Amino acid sequence: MTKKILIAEDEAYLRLLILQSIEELEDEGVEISMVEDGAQALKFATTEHPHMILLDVMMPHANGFEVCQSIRNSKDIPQPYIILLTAKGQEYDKLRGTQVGADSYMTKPFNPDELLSAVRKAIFS
Amino acid sequence: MPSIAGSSHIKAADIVAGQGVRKRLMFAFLGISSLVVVAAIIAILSLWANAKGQDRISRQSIPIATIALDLTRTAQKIVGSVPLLISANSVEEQEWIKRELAAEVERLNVLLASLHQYDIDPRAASSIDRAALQFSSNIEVIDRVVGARLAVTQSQKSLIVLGEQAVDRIARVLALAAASDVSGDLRSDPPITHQQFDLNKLIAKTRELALILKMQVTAGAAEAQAAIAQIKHILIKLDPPVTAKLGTDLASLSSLYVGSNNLLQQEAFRLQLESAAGQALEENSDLADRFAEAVNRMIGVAKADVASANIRASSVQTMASWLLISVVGITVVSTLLIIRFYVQRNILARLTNLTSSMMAIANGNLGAEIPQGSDDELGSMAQALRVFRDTAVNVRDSNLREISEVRSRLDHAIESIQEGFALFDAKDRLVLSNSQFGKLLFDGADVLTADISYEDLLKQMLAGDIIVGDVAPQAWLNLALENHHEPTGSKLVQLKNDRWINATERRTEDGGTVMVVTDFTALKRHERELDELVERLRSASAAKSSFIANVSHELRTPLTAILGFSHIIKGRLDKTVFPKVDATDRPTERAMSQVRQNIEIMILEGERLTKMINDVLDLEKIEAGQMVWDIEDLDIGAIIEQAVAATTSLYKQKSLELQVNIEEALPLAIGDHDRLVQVVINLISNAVKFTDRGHVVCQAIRGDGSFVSVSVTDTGSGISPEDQAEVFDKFRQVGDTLTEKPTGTGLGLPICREIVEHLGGSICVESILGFGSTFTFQIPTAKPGAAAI
Repeated sequence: MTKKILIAEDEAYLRLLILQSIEELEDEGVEISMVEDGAQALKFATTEHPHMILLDVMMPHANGFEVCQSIRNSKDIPQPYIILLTAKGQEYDKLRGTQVGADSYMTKPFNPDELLSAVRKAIFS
Repeated sequence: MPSIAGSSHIKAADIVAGQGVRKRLMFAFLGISSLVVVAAIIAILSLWANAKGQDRISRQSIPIATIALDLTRTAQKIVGSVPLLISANSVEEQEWIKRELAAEVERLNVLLASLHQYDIDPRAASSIDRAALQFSSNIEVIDRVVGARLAVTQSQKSLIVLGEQAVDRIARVLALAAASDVSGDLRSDPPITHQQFDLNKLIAKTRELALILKMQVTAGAAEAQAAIAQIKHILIKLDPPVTAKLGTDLASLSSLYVGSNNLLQQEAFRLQLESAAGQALEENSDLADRFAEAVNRMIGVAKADVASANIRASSVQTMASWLLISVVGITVVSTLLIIRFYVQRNILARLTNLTSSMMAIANGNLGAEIPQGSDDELGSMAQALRVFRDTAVNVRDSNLREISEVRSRLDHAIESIQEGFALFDAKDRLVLSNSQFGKLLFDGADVLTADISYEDLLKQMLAGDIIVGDVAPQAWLNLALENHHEPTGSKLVQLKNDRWINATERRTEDGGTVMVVTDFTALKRHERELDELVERLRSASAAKSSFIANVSHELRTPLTAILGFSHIIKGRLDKTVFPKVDATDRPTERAMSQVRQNIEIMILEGERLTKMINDVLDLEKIEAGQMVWDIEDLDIGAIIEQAVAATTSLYKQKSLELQVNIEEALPLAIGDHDRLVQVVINLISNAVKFTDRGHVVCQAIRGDGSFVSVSVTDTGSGISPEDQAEVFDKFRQVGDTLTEKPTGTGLGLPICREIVEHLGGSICVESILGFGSTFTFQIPTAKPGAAAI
């Protein structure tokens, strides 16, 4: 079946960067979608049931932690693999991410190759 | 103050102690003593005279009286015994009484002899003697008379016996005659015969005569003679034989009262003798009376003697008593006079004056008048007192001067200090204060009065509405008083016009209180300004922290894009674009080479920028106290190994050797694992960065005390001494920044220092330029008992 990956990132260039980093996965049948804020991300997760979400933390209308927590708390949503992407990269945020139920964590700036390999590893496992 | 000039030149050494008082006292006491001696002599003399009189009486008068008493008694005894002698009934009785009397007379003579030994009245003595002699002769006479009387009485008795015998015989004869006459029929009825009648009559007469004879000789003499005559008459009538038989008896009876020396004659002689004896007795009684009279006279003389001696003694005693009383009176009066007019005036009055002067001086009145003295002891005393007073005046004056100087100096000193100063005594009265004290307490107005009590001072402050605060005035007053009585450090008080004072109180040893008031208005203002500044700084710091956090976040977004896209470009170029380019011509080859190199540089610098941002963020977090520390017991060896593993690529790149030396059985350290790994990585990275040849040594040993010491040594370029001091400062990269390319963030060592110091350790550097550097940090060991893993 088609694997769905959602990119939730408010910064347009970074959305593009993330997309380009993992774009080659589309050749392998992965469907990549993008939203610009937390509310959209949650809505997408509820309706489209992505397999993976690359979730930015600092976003308008519900940040990444809140979105992550909402998804994890929801019984209706099939649980996706969630990678938190944050500019903070500090211990507090790592801890918070673990608490709200994120599967992985990647700090900005990130190496696109590392992101791709992490996504690939997770989505096809 | 009275002038004392003129006497002040006298010195103590000049005073000569006189002797006048001693002499005067001596005279006074001698006078009194001699009067007392006179009184004593008079008393002794009068006693002596009295004793002499008493002695004479006891030596003479009393024995004479005693002897006289004995004499009288003996005489009375003799007089009493004489009647016994006179009435003696036998010669034996007479002899016995006579012996008794002789003994008494002898005793009388002995007493008389002893009486003559004393000086007695001669007339009384001779009459006594005479009486005594007459006593003796009288007794002789009586004795003789009694002897005669006894002889007569004896002869009368023998006569009467003879008579009685005759009567008896007559009676018996008559009885026989009567019996023969009657012839056995006397009881038959008479006619009694005449003879019979006469016979019976005769018998009756004989019986009568016998009775008479038995009685007193003289009393019945007539009856007896009559009876005898009747008997003779009757007998004559009777038978002659009978008469013949009774002839001698009748003669005997007749001779009783007839003839010489008959009973009656003898009786008359006896009565004569008795009369003589009675006369002698009477005489004797007279003698006894005379004797008693003489003795009494003598006793009277002796009594008169004693009485006159007593009167003499009594008069001597009375006279002596009066004399004694008058002498004692004179003594007392003269003693009083001596004391009143002599001792009082000459000594006591002057002493009193001197004493009152002394008391006045002792009480502090140094101007007291001192009496002018003469040249005796009191004069010397007065002089000495004057010297003493003058010395005291000098000392007082110099003390007053000194006190005044000290006081003035103290006042100046207290006045010159900037703080308000006040001293309260033990009763809380204001003793001393400077003007600053009043000004500070009363908002510039110095309204303090001397001796004001602390409580009144506080009340004045309250009345002046000087105190600012939300405490009720009474409560404030109580609190201030309490604090005053038991000072506990300084108190800050706000006054009106936004003035502040700081009052410090301290108890003095004598129970008083020293109060120092400092004007804190300026200080308070500065404090407030400082508070505001700190507040501003704090908010600025918070703003800075939040700014840095925001900036680093904001920077990170474009950086992420730049770095991310550079990576992608590099990837696309390497994988997709360059393989398809035909780089045979020179310009294409150069362009490709440049693009490849530039992309590399972009990525490296992008990463450096990322690290710089991370470091800035770390440093800011540590400094702002926002870093979360995970403190635990740590194995330093493990930390070093982890750091070495993380930096392997770095030193391998430069073909450097990294030696790791970890001491055996190193104690556990205490700290944050990740941060210490970061420190060691930083130090190794630095060492590798500045070392081109040689090696890097990482070592962990026991440090001083309870520390573990970790050092990283390189054989690199080294750091100059000037630079060593700044190597831990932020953004201070040593070396020539113009010629050498900057390869670090300039924040690594400052972060190391922040971390190590936060964990209670220290970090330092030792280096020789051109030879290498050693960075060493110390981390506290864990609590004892924690063993190395």
